[in-house]
Amino acid sequence: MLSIENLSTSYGLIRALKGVSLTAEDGKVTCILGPNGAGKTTLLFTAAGILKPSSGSVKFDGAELAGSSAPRILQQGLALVPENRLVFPQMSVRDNLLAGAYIRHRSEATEIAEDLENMFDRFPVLKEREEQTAGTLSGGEQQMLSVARALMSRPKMLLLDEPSLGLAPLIVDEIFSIIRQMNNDGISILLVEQNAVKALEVADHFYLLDQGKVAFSGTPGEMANDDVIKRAYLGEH
Amino acid sequence: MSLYVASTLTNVALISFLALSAYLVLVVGEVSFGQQAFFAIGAYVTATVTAIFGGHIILALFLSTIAGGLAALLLAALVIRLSGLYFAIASLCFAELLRLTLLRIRIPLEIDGRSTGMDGPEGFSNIRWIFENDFEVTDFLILTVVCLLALLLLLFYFERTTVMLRARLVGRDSLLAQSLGVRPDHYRMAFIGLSGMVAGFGGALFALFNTHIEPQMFGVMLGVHALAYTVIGGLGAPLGPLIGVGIDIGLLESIRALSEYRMIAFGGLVAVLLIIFPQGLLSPRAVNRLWGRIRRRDV
Amino acid sequence: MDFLQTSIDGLLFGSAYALLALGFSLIFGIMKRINLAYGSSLLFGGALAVWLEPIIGWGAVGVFLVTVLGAAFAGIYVERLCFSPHLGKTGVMASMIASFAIWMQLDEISSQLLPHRTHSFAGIDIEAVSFSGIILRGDQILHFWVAVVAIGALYWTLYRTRFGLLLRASADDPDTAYLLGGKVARLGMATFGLAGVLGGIAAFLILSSDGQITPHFGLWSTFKGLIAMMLGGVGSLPGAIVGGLLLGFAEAHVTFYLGAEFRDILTFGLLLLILVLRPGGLLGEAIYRTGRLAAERI
Repeated sequence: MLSIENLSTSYGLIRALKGVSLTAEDGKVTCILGPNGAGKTTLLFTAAGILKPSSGSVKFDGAELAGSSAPRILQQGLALVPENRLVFPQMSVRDNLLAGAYIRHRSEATEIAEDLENMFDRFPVLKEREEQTAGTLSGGEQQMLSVARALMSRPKMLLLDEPSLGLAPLIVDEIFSIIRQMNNDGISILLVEQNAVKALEVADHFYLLDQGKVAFSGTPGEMANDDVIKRAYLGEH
Repeated sequence: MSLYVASTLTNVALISFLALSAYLVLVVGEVSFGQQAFFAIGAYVTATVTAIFGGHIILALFLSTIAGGLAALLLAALVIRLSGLYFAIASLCFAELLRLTLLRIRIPLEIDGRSTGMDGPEGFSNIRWIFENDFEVTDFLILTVVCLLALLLLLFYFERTTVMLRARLVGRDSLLAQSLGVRPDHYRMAFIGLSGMVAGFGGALFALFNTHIEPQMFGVMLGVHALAYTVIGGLGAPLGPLIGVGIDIGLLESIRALSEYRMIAFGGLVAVLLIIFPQGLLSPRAVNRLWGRIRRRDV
Repeated sequence: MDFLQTSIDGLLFGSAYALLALGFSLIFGIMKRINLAYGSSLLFGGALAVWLEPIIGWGAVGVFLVTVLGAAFAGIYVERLCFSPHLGKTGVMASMIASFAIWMQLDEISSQLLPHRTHSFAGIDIEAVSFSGIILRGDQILHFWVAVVAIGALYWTLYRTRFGLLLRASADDPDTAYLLGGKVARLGMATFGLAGVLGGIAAFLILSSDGQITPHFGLWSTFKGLIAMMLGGVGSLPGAIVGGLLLGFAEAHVTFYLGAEFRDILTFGLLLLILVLRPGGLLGEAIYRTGRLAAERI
């Protein structure tokens, strides 16, 4: 379980997070909604150790992670899939996936090879493109590669930053079915999304982040009945 | 003023022209390893005009400036599509090609019983304009410093114009500049051309002062030094390059006691200085802050 | 026959250029910076070897080891002082000028280690081989094989080891490589060390072939490595190899047919031509299309 308590993060003088508290349960999909600039990405970056919080705590399965380095947090089983599909464009799909397993110990070589095959089973399109460089993949394929690469580190929880951003509707559907499938396989997911309609299909719990604070917390049912959210995120009048 | 001090100061002023020319290229965001080429062209043109044709100094300076500017425009036209490392290496190639060509050109002449004219590696000797016109070392120092000050005033004036603002924008973000309707290539051409003119003018004075020039004087070391002065001094204002020159030659002279170990100490010092002031001493940010403070005091 | 002989001589010598270019390419690939002090760090290795030779002994083997280790050490020193403090986007200029300053410094230190203008450098005597009129100098054959082994080892490191994987990932996108748990901070040092080893091997080959070392070697090898890299394609390893061989080939022919004084004119002319016509180098990407040019501003 990931539990974030009173977390604050600043860029210089600008406080992007002003005491955020939330929890993401094991085996569940937790979704964070919010407008641009609400601090969603900052929250994920702080949880993943790329940004250092100015105060507050990030506990994952009881271990305090706030202030740890990104590699250490990854070792604890918390993997970030950044937005904009940051693959290694000059490396082959296969090498991209192997790079995802970099954190794992040398002695796990056979398990890593097995996981590689599992990824190709799960994402057949990646198998087809195994030796191609990642830069030649389409946006949706790069997003799948980016997710698969994160899975190669065998995380307990994935932090997904706007996986549907800039993708065609059909591809978005595919990405969300992958998210549900991963969740069924037992991986907890903390999802940041703007596409609330799609998020409603997969998420077990919602948080609304606004100007660096949690403005709403509830189940999908509660969220769908909230007038403000309905108007702002679900496009209903 | 002793002869030694006067000639050191003159050298400082002459190298400052080259540093300012590197500065103008840096303003539009390019790095040139080849400014010494335009310096050399200015020097050889002035040498030819004064020593062979007995031309007037004003004519020589004028032609040198034009020749330097034209050569720079030629380089710019060839490589305008390039930027970054590619531009830097292309300018280096250009300068080295020029130097290697100068080494091959041998047209020795004899004028009034003195050998002069371009003579390959032997260089161009007997550029006797300062002797013929009874210029003392201090007179020449005054001439050089006056020219340098005039150029600086011009650049200071220039600094407050929209042209300079746009050029800096091109240097910082060429795509953004384009989206605002500025044509980056025009500004880059113009500023590279200007830098060639400044270098050509400086080279002309250099030839007159040294009375003997040879291709080896215009090697890549000269150009990279000029660039280094500009970066150490900072890109915020035209004074930056001068500060860089002052620090280098000033420090070199002051730690002469170390003699052979001078470059060892100095090289390390520059590296450490850049760790403390990565943008140079007069960085654009520092200059803006300084201006802000001065203005507030006025109010 | 002359043509064949000259071509072979050029290509064999070019294998050392290829090693120099690989060192440059490696640094550029990882850091997106050029290291002006590269040649000087090789000179430092060579000068240290000559200086220590009477103390260590071991003949050519000792000289080889000290040259390579000295170059790698100097490379790491350059990285610490000139590159690791200036990692941000704004630090490109500062790192280049700092490396220029350290170039001056290393040249001066090397000159202090070499009090005379030229010093003899341990050569290796291998008998020349000749068949059907073609003569292959022993040291040139050695050049070639050492370069082949070194390049093979480099490729093995890059494509078969975890370290190589991280190195390539970091060259592509250092931030993401960090995200995946790579110790990116120390990667710069490792890269400079590796480039120093490659360059050190090249320096030993060239210096032992010449039988002497002068303080000019620093500038010379910086130029040759840079030119070979840019001919082949910036940041591309196969490009560096092709560029090195091409440079050796072209130089040998110009020297043979036009004379040594035209060699450098040709070198710079060729490079300028390639920069104007195909700036990515022969095997490099077409830089205009990919838009990487803007990202690689120095």
